[in-house]
Amino acid sequence: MNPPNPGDWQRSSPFALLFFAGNILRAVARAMLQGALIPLIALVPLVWDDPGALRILLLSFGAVLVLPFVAGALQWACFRFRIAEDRLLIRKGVLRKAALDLPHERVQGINVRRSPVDRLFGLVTVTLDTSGSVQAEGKLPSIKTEVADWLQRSVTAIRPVVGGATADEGGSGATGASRSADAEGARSATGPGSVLLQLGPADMVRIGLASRNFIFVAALIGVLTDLLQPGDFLDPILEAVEAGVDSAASAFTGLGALAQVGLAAAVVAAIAGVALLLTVTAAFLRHHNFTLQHDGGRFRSRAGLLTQREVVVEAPKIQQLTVSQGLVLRWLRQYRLYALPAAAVSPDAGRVSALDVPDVLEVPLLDGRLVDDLRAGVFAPEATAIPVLPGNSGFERVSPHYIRALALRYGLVLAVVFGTLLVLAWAGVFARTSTVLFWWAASIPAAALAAWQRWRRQGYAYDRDGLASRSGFLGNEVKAFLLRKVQSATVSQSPLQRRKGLATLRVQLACGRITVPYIDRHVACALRDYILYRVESSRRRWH
Amino acid sequence: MAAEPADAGLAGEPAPTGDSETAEPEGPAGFFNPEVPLEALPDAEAVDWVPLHPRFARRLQVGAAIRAVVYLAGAGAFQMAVSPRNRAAIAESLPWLPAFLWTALGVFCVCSIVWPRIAVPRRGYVVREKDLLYKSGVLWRSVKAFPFNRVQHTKLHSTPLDRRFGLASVSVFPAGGGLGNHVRGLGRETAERLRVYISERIESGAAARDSAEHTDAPGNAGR
Repeated sequence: MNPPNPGDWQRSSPFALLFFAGNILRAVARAMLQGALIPLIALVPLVWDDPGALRILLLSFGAVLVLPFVAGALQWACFRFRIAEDRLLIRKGVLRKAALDLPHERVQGINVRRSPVDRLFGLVTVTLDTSGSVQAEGKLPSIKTEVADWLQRSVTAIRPVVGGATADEGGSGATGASRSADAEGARSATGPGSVLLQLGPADMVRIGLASRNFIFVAALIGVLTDLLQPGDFLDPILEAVEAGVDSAASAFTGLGALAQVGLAAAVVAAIAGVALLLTVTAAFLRHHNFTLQHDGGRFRSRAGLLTQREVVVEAPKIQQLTVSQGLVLRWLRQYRLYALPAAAVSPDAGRVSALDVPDVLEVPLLDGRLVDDLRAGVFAPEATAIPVLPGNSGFERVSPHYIRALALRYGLVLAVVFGTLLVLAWAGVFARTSTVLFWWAASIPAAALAAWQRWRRQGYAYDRDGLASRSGFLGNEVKAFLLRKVQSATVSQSPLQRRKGLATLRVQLACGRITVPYIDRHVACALRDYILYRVESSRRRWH
Repeated sequence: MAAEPADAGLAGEPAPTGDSETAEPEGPAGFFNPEVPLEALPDAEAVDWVPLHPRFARRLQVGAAIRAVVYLAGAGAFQMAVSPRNRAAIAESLPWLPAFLWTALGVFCVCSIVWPRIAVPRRGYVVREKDLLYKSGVLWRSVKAFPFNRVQHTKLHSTPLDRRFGLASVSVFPAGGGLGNHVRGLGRETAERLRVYISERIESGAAARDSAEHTDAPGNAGR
């Protein structure tokens, strides 16, 4: 096979048809879920007895499964791309032809994904991240690795990392940047791509343990086992266990109750074990062999067991850093970090479309020192003083009146819920009135406690370039951003806040909204004015 | 603790109770960034708010009245549709229910018709050189600020009812979306002028940014 000149028009590999078909199947599935599925299911009993109609229905189901592959093959056949010196040209579309012209200088990141099929044949699927306001348009499915490398080289040649230059220039003066440089040096990383972090199998177990889905999966399994009710194949095992326990219990008379408790504990442990196994498997699938690299101003993460994902984000493009720490992570003294770029926004809707959010750089498990290094690396010479670790003492608390507002909010929700229950109880549909009243009364201190806990977690901190906001209930989450990247700012006051001279500051970033509730009104206004000043006097690009 | 902002006085300064320590933080070297006295920053509250178009409250009231008629007609149709047997059952067990629902609906309609008279005078906007401010709210008040150099595009739109009253709305779209980025209830010419003005500001901002990037590209020193 003679390699074609990368500068010529070329097709992607035939395996790209899987990619196209997958896209169509996903769209079909989404449409089904959104509306077509229920009428279709309703049709089934109607035509059940009519073999002719049933056959038609089955045929159409088959068509729904087969047609995407035919359409995918057509799309593949019509898909061509050319890597010119300074731009990427794409021609695609079967009936509605489209010609894309993507100058390299608009490309912000090259994200690479390799499905198992891709990996088997040495192919990659490349997504070019453009400037945020355009939905991910430059997608090259299943192209040869050499071609992807060629593309990457030509993009980098045209577009040397701006952020890298900034970081290096600023590093001479900024303590943060030089510290991070030292830290990188200490990790004995040389060459252009210094490895900041690598996660091994033990880390996968920890990620699985800390997964937010852990409790959820455990509860699901608990419910499922309860529903299946010792069934058929578990029964003999359980009986054997019970028999064994019984014989042991009869040996130690009086330990019967204890043995039962032990059995219950064993069941709970088994459920937790299975849940852990599932979440750890998920962690392996997603984060296996996680590597985080930093070269110049680019952060590059690579991970995945079957499908490998590579996400590249340029530091200046990062809008917000989110550092979160759940209970388990807190116990492990580790953190989880997301670096959010500007979300893709369709110009018509003006809303963030959930489908085309660019790849987010996620670091599933890292320690506090690396978080600080990354903060310094991302914000480069600016915002050297804002804290990103939740435990930092630099966070100022918001006004205690926040507790009252939250308690009032929770109380309202409780009043609605229990009020409904109470009406039902009066009508005799539901439990006794006194029971409902008892639980209502019992829930009030809980709501107050929850409000107090939320207030304890809430905090904010700022320096001349950036702002960080902390929130959480059991865990902690810190969102930090540079003031000059703000899109719009709002100061609002509720009646209670007006009486107490407080206000809530909301800032809109290109990737979402951040709220600092219940701070002094003068502080909020001054911060807002200062943010506006920073935004309006900034000559730097925000994306 | 390193996080304790060196300019803690930043936000405290305008406040009478703010502590007055304003230790200057060591500025990152390498780019030009003149110090700005914080009290010199323009206050976004101390501005002359421009009220919305005088006919806007009336337009909202007409809209609310039309909606009220639709609601009332729907409720009437629903009542007609209740079968006589069910009606008898309701009259026997819950005789107060229809009257209660009708009263609630009536109060809601009256309130929604009166509300614009209270709410609209409390809304207002200001166009400054570099941003657009919009205030709203009767009980929950807010002041939103949209810097022009973050606005991606603008939109002028008007419903048939708006046009009947000679009104239009201007929406600004910063990146990242977010709802409620529009100023409703402007006169048609005002709205068009505002839209043109914002568009010009966006373009001049982009031009300035581009020239800044070209002149000091490598160090990216321009601010």
